[in-house]
Amino acid sequence: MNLSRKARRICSSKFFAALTLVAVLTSGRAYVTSAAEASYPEASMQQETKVSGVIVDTQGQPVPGASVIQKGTTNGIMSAVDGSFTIFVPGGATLQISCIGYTTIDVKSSPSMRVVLSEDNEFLDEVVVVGYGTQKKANLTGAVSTVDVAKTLEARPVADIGKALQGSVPGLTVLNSSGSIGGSPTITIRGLGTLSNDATSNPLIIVDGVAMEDISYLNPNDIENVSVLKDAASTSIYGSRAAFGVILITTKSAHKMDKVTVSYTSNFSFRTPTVLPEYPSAYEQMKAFKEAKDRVGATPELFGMVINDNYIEQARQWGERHGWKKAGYREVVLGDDLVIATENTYLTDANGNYILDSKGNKQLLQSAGQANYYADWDVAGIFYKKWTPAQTHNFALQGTTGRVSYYLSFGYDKEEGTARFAPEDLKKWNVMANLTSDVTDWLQLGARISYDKKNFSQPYSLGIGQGSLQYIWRWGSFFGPYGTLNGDDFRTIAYRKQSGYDVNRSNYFRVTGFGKIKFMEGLVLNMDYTYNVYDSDRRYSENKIYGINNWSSIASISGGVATVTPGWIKTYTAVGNNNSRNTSYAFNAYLDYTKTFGEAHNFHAMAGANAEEGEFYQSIAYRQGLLDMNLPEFGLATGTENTYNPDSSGWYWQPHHTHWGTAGFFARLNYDYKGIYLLELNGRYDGSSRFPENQHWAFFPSASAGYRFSEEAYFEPLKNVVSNGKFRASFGEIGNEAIGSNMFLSTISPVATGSVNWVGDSNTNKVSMFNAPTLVSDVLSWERIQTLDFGLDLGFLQDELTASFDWYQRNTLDMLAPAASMPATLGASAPYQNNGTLRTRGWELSLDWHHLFGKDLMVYANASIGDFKSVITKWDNDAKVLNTKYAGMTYGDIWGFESDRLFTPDDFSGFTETGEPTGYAVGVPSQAALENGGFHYGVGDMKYKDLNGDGKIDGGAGTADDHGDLKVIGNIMPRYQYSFRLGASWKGFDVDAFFQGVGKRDVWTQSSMVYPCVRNADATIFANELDYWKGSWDGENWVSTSGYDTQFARLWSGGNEAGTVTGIENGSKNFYPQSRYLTHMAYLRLKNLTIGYTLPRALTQKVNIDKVRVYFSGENLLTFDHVNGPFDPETGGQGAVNNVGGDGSITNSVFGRIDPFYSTYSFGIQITL
Amino acid sequence: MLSVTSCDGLLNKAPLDSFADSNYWTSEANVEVYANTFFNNFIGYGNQGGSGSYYFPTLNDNQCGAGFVDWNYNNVLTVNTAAWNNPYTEIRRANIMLARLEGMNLSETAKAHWTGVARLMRGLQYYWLVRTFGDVPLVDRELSVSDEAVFGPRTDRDLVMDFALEDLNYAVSNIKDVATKTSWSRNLAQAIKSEVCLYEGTYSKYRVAADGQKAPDATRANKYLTESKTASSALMAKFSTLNASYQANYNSLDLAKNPEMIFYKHYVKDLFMHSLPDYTCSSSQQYGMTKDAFNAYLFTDGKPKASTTLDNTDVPATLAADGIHLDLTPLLAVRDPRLAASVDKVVMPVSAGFKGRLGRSDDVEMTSSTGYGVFKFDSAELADGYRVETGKNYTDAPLYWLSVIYLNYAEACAELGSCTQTDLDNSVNKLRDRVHMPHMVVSPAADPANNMGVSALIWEIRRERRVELMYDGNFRFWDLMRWHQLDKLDTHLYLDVKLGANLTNAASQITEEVTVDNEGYIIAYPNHDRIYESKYYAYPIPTSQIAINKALTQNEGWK
Repeated sequence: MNLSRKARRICSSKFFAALTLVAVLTSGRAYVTSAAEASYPEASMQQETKVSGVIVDTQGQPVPGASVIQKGTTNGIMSAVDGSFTIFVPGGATLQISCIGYTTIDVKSSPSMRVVLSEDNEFLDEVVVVGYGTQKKANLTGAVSTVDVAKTLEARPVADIGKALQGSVPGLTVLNSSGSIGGSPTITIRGLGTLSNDATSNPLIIVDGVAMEDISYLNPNDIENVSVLKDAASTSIYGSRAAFGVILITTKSAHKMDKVTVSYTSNFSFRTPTVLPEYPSAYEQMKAFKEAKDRVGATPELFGMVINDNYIEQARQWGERHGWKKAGYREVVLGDDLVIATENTYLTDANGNYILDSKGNKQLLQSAGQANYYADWDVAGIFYKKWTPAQTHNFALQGTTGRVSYYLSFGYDKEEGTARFAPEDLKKWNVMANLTSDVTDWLQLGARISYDKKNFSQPYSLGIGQGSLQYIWRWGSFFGPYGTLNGDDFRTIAYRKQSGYDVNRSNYFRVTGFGKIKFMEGLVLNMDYTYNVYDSDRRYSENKIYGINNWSSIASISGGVATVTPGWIKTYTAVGNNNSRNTSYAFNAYLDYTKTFGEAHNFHAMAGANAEEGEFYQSIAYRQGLLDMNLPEFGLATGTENTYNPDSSGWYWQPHHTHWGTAGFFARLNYDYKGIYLLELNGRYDGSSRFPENQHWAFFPSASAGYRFSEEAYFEPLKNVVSNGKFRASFGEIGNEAIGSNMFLSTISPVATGSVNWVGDSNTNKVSMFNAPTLVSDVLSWERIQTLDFGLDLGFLQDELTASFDWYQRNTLDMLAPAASMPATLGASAPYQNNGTLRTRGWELSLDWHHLFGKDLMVYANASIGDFKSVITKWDNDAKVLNTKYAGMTYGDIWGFESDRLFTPDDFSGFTETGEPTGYAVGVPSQAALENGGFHYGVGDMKYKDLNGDGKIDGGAGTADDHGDLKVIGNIMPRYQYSFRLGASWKGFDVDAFFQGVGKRDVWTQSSMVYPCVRNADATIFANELDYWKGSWDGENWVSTSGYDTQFARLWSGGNEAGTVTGIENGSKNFYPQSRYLTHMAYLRLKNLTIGYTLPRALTQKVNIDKVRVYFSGENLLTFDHVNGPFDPETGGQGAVNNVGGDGSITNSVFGRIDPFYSTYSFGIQITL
Repeated sequence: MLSVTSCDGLLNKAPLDSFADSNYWTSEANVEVYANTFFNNFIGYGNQGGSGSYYFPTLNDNQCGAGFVDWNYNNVLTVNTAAWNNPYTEIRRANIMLARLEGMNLSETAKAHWTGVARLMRGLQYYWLVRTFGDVPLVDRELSVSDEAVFGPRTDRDLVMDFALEDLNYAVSNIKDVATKTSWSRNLAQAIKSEVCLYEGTYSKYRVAADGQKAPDATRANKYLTESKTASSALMAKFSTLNASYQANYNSLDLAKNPEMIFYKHYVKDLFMHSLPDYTCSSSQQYGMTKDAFNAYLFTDGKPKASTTLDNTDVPATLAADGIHLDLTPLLAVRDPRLAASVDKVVMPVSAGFKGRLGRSDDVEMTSSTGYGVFKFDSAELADGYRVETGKNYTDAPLYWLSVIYLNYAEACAELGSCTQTDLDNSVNKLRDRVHMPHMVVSPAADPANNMGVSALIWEIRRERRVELMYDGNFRFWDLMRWHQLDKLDTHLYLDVKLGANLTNAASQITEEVTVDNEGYIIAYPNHDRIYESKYYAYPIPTSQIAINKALTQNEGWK
């Protein structure tokens, strides 16, 4: 289960003798630390002699990274890649030689030594990083998982640690909403934690003992260890910020080495979108468009183009002329790709006579200067590059000079968006210097300094407003058009190319000083102080846009000749700036004491204190009217204040300034009896500035216990098979601090500028106004999170196979939410109160197996799976409307109808002369209650199941108690998240395949990529949507050319809107939320495949290189899913979050219009000198 | 062991970019900006694109708007919640200010001044609540969620108004007597008191037990009428000059120099604007004046329609210069000039838009529901691009001004039965002088149109009020309410309230598309009618509030 440990274990294999330097350090560090703690000062220094040696395993293979320590001191080094070491010790001193995975031995020093380490099959000394310390894995009683850092973070073309952690441990959910290189994933541990504060339940991320909000700044190559603390017993030591789990990250530290090691790794990768939407031919799109509009009775019109039969025929002929191939980005051919009308034309009938409207007027078909577009453009091919390069370089240097050891690293990463025009660009630089000095044998001092810089640039306002993603997937492939005319671009590409820049430059600077004092054996004081500065500077300029505006007439007519007239499509300009500075410091001090009484009673006590303080300042400014677009500066713009419409004209400035503080006193006591009975008590007396003065402090206790039954004497007979067995149980309570700003404090804030009057004595100046104090409930208390966890750890066959299982229940009590309605006489909106309870239950299982076949072939496999479900057990809402929160509701449930099939003529009692049904046949439930907007169910439409058997289809009252024929058709939460890894190594070759998946996740979207012609304003159809019902009324009968088993019903433009059923997501007519069109986002994908080859050392040694490894690493190479649209199964959540309120992407059909997810193919090299 | 001693400083983090209630109340300046928020209660001509209280309300007999048929409070859930909720928000604002002021270290006069401001606003809110709903819960302190008063019952309306009067009396005694016209002053307090007490005095006098109200109370009426008269007198002693132009009270860019302004709302070009002129000069159909209102104006001989010796027809007979529109000039020439200041000189039915009111380049075609265009608020001073534009008008709005005080004064005197010719000459006759109309006398001739069952004097004073305040501040609805004359809004009983201009002499192509009655008068919104019921003397309590607070009872007729 613990992959990093596995990595260490397999270092014994002769084919892994040359493991990466990083992995070596990983194993070394943990041991050096524990060894140092165990040592005590010795009297005086004696004459030192040089001792050289080599450490080998029982097979004679060198053991790199083994720790060689002069026993009882901190004098020590690590063995090199070839197992060799050199150390200066007093003559005859005892050396303690250790390496994770081997039994530690003591040997007498001699000038030239050969030390043989035997493998330790129990691994009981494996150490796991926990809050404020480390813990032997065997003695662990809380729910803690460790990440296999080597496989998860190193040599992988993923620069964002958060993204790389996906699937790394059970219970950790990492959701990416798009493939944008600028986006960060949402990370949660064990699912939804609270419904307060917009259901934010982020874990606390601690890097080197200090909280860090955005870990995308970190360099994955600098990470030494990642632990995930999941239950309250493990996290309560961090107090109220750790209510929803902790991710503990440790960066590489400096270790004592006898030589200078230089490593360089680089990786070049190529990305390609996993899936891109595809339009059918323009001809097919227009046919469907007209059919959908005809049925509504609306003119099939788009920006003045009436898509009538003649238009469709022209599109068909274009297709034939061009061999049904789509057009690339090229010069538009007038008369072929598009035809510009030189005079107004009007609707005519088959005989050429004008069709008049009710007032006797001719009906305009096309106005002069308006173009008809026939060309079928390859939208995906025009907008996206097939391959996009990226590269990463890392350089690290480490060694020891005198008493100072150092680890220095430099990283550079460059990525580019997949868009062809004005692609996003991301560059990241990381510099880190970690220093450790053993000042004396009882005092260690050190420093960690890191500087991370990230520049992200993108076209202004991409993705919103005029963003190209919004428009290229909106109106089909014929209405762009996506070529140039006389070199000028049409609207959408012109926007993308010219809209101006939007650059975010941010810097993360962090410096830590730390010290460690060993007072006596077993008693160590640790202290550290960290100062963080996070600066972010976003600047953007909004430019004018020049090109051909195809949203209107594109030509002027003179003498019957059309002349295309490009011009300014957007005319205003602006400059914007969002500048923020986030500074904080953190101070930790804790005392650690270890003592064993009478061989059997082992105590470990820790107590300490923590203080942190931070300040945030932000300045947002905007000014319109650039005098020169090339000089987007505030002083060179003319916009003046205008509160009448502050967002669209003039200028504004919005400063924000906040600060916070937190402090805590914490303690932990571990006791074990002979390593069989384990007990751990944690407590933190926690203070947070978010709470009112008399409630700053609260105490959060937790306890956990373990029983290692495998160590009992009675278990001895089974030990050959079951080598390890442990029950664990834990319970704890934590308060939640992340409940929003000033929720406990009555504040008086300025009235927003836009609503400020000019009444008052100074007639020409604004009058300042302040709001009445916010109403804070006088009966408010902390939100409390209680977690109960039971675990079982098993090891079989000398732990070749291990298994770990956890079951947990988390109750979030007294959740903060707006109080139930209060009388208006209160004079303020109902304040937040402790309003409800959320219960989450889940389980996690992980399995791990490895085996050495012969002496060359190491094979390993591991797998993990986890699941959880959240139910609101208490909420003050008796009405229980389905899309509100109520007691008994399973969080994320999607309500809808069960699709039956399409209506056939037999389902109706008869038809009028025009084919309209006169009623339903006997036994067919009426769907009349679902009709709105002029729509009546007929032949070819969707038939829903009468679940309650009342002879009609409806949604009842839309409440949990009366939901008619509605049922829960799915759930938005990711369920059964799993991953598995298969790997092997043989001689210099290594291969590792990592699969990751989600067993169940549903989304009810209104995406035009899922339903044909669903939105009235768009009427778009994609290539996956052509299987819709087709047929007609021949005057006597309904004749279907498609049959009644088509995927989609008869078209109707505008099915995405709200129907007649309350309490459910939008959708109407044939597209009410229902089982058939639910989008299933389950997937399994080959997240990473790595194949490496390490050159024989004999070869590389000749040029004084310790190690050279070349590798191929690919991401998202294979995906298995059954998503019903042209988007990636990881496509997120925006707007898809049922019952929580989205961002409009559902009702506007924009789900799926995202930066595409991508597959990556990369090649890299790792060199160690 | 460790120096983590300054935990208090570490954890006491008051918000930086907003105040905490605990550290806000430190200076008079802070009290002032807190109190500034009360200014939002004076809607005036509205904010930006929104509606104001002038012209827009059409539940009266003066105008026909698209919603003129609605008793605003028919839709219990959606309409009344704001009328119920907003005052309590303001009352809380005032109660908190009163409580915090007590603990502040201010001079006695400053403290009294700001206490007066808070009580003035609280009293005004209770007046608005009571005239709307009758009995309402009385909240005299800051409430916490656990205060049982949150779920308290309604208090007798008379007691609530007495409470409000105490607030107002404190305000007029303690608010600083300063000359400002755009901020807090004793004059503003007196003006509010004048209005509130006139309302309460007449309401107490005319209310009818049979219509679900309390029985008339002459003592109470006298008390409040006297209070109103006192307040009006105090203002009349300080303000003696009317503005020379009637219309300039409504369509000026700056009312600072207007001598009769007591309190007005200032709008500033590009910074803070409204939409009132735009709604009455753009292509939006105007909520035109009714035939009933048109005929309420006196003739230049000082006599009403029934007895004037001048041509009293309201049927325009000639065409305007454009040859299309009926010309109103001859009709307006013989009527009170305030009519000409209020309606356009041509008839502009929906079938024939009129362009060229001010002869400006930005004139657009206008139409009116009744044919009578609303001219009063349009302003030639507005810049091009700022007149026919929503949210871009910046004429100032009068809120309290001397004309109204004169009307209040004369009416209070008349209702008290003590009105002398001097009283009239000192008040309403000054309004007559401004528009060169003959004076009102203490014993005017009876007008057969008097359908309110009041003396000829009171009838004439009420006419004067209607004419002077045409389209203004929703005065007319609340006047009818306090006079117990809401039945006058019934379109079946009083046909003229939904009729407009007469099109008898208009071209047939114009009349074809407009519904007219047998005599040729435009019927505005022909398919809509407004039927009076006695329950309309009180709005219904929002049902959502009754659902939350079981102690609330519904008003008679709405259960």
